[in-house]
Amino acid sequence: MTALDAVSVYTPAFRVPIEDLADPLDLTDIQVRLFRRFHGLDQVRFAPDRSPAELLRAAVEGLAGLRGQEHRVRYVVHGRAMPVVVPYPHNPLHDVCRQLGLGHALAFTVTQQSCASGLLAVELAGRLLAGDPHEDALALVLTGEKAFTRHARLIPGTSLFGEGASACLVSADGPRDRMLSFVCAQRGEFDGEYGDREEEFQRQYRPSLAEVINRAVADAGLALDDIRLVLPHNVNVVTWQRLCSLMDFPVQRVLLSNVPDNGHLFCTDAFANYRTARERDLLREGDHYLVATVGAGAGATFSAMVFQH
Amino acid sequence: MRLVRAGRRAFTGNADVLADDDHRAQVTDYFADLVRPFGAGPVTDLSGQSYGEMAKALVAEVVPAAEPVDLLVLAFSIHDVWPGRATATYLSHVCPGTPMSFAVCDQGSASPFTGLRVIGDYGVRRALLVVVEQGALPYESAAATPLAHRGVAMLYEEGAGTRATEVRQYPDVVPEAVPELARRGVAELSTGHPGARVVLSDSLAAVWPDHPDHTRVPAGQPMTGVWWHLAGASEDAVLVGDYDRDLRYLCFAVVAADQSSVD
Repeated sequence: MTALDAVSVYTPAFRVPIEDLADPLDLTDIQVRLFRRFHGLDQVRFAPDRSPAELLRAAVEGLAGLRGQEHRVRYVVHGRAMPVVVPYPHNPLHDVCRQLGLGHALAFTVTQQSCASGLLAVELAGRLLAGDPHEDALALVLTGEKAFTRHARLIPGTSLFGEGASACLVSADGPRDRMLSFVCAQRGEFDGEYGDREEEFQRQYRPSLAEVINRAVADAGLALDDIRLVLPHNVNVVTWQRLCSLMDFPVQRVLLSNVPDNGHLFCTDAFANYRTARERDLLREGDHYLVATVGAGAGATFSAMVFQH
Repeated sequence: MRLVRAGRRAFTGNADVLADDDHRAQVTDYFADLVRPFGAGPVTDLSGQSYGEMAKALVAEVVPAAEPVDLLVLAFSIHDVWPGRATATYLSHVCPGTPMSFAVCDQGSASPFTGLRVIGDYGVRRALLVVVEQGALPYESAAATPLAHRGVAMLYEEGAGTRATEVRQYPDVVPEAVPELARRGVAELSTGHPGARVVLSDSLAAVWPDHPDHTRVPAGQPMTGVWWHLAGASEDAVLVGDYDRDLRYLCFAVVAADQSSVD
């Protein structure tokens, strides 16, 4: 059973109040106030001095569990929201692998599920490990990217993206944080080819997310009330408040404290929220928790994953 | 998994989406922001292809409505001219079966082999591998680009049938180490398929002087080269091999007659 053996997160210390993003993102005062008062955003993290490769490297260097185990890493999978982040043929992923003694691993990026690509990377890593002949094989799942252009910094009326990165050591049968289920539903009908369907997407957002959460919980053999904690994507606070209302789930069991502190860190939210949960001792041995995310942009992907800690 | 159907197609001209002024403006801004930290600038005349448009045509050619797909993997190296699009998610909508879909990239010519490996690991009933490349970069660049816009789609099915697949991938292989590993890879994959036609990319043949008799794929199409040949092959067994000299991946796959169907 796929398991998370260790998780490291790099969140830059540098943070920008959302009011300072008004000019670069062409936001009106009303839009900024909406983000602050309604969506619960406050500051967004950026790493202006770090390149894409340096972001990833910062996360890997914090992964103490990797040291001395590099030779066991057979796969490095970068789960990335934005499909194109550097000019061709630059390759930050392989640069980092070579710098950190992981050049022997099969390294690649999975993408085009937007912010749901991070959970996909974990699931995919588990499948590769399950099919690997080496019993002690490990996979390293990375997330992290730059908010380098307006398209990558803003979901109009919904969220603001920041920068951060994570590194997660995955094993095929580890003892900690075992993955019990994964459900993914893709909605390509919201692609830009079909015109502006924003209103319809907003109508379907919460019911669609609720559906994959319920299916993931059921696939894990659990009831929703068995979920000790939900680790959300940091899209905003109000979305999760309304989702909890829809699902009759206590919002106090959704870890939302990083939304005002970080902004939406692409695929990194899940891992950053996991680290926060561990640091605050919110997960006890045996607890079940759920990670959920929506990859939105051109098309939409709703994903949920249940773990036992 | 067995290969049940394959299609290949070359595309000319620019993506239809580039006729849209709003789209052109958006992606021009995107590419300008993309290359600025690298000291480059955008080109004034945007051209190139969209993998969504290319793959949609290939899906229509290869996947009948009565054969719903469970998994779709899009493999590419050079990006297209719709850089922010979740193209695989879009393809999930246009492909029969609304399959789980994602893209594999940043691995040079190894990406299609990884896609094939992933398809095997998922163990689904039916999966589609789409390999695409297009030949234009919308910014100043000295990088070599493919000679033509081309795509290959391969539909694989679980169970007994006419063709089966196996993959071998070797990371971090320097050119001097290619011959020994290549001999091993071909020997392993040829077991049980003694008559397999060997198809090698130009880049692999160049660093493997004592290579076996093979069909050498012309240079200029680093992603689709060997797969283009596979999609057009009539042989019962084909063994494809590729080498990415920049990223140092050596990869082989055999698509061969399934013994259960031969009997």
